[in-house]
Amino acid sequence: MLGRLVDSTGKQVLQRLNRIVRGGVFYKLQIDWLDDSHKIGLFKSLHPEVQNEYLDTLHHFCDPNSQLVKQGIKKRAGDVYRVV
Amino acid sequence: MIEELAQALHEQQQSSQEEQLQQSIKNLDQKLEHVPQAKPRRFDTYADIARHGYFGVEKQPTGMLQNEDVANGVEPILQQWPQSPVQHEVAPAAQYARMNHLQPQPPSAAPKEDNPLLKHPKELSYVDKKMIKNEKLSATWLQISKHALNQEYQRAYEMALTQADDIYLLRLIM
Repeated sequence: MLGRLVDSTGKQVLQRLNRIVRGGVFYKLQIDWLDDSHKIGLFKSLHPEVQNEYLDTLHHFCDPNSQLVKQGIKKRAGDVYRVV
Repeated sequence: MIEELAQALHEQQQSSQEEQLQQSIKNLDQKLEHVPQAKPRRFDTYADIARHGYFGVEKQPTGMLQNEDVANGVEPILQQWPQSPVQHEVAPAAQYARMNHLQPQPPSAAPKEDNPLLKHPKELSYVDKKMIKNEKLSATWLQISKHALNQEYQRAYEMALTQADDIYLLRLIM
């Protein structure tokens, strides 16, 4: 796709994507939804393998060695991981 | 003596010409009284609204059927159409309704004043403002997706970068 765009537009798209990903909006979304699903009891009704996968995702979010995830998100992910 | 007579004749001719002119003006005025005068309106079509903005609208755009038109049926509109230059904008909608055998619907219960697009910006509630913003973003997204479908990716990405939110850029990329 980048080959069909002029260089300046391609650079802008890369910059914007980088900002979106590093902003951590997807991490926040997943943590919020998993937290809500636990509160209303939906999480427990999921298949154990699916639960395990979601918890594994949360575990990766709160990995202290991960430099991509912001500190605030790590803390919240850890809180939700322990509760769930 | 001859000069005086010539002067008098000249004055008489002038007065008769003035009388004729006044008479013709009166005749014209009488004829004009029977010509229907179309009131100028600032916003008659959606194109005008798009050009001038949503606000300051005195009446709903006439490109669509109005509530009273729907209640009365389309036939009266079609009968009046050729006689008035203002009503021709209503006629295409009415013609469309007749061609597609659409039945007249009762006027909606909501009054026209509830349309947020017709309100003054100061009267808009938070929800109204959000709704207008969403409608503008949706229109922008339609334009972006149209460019993408036509494989005009440069224009599509430029629009997504400059006029739309992050989510629309992601949607375009996906």
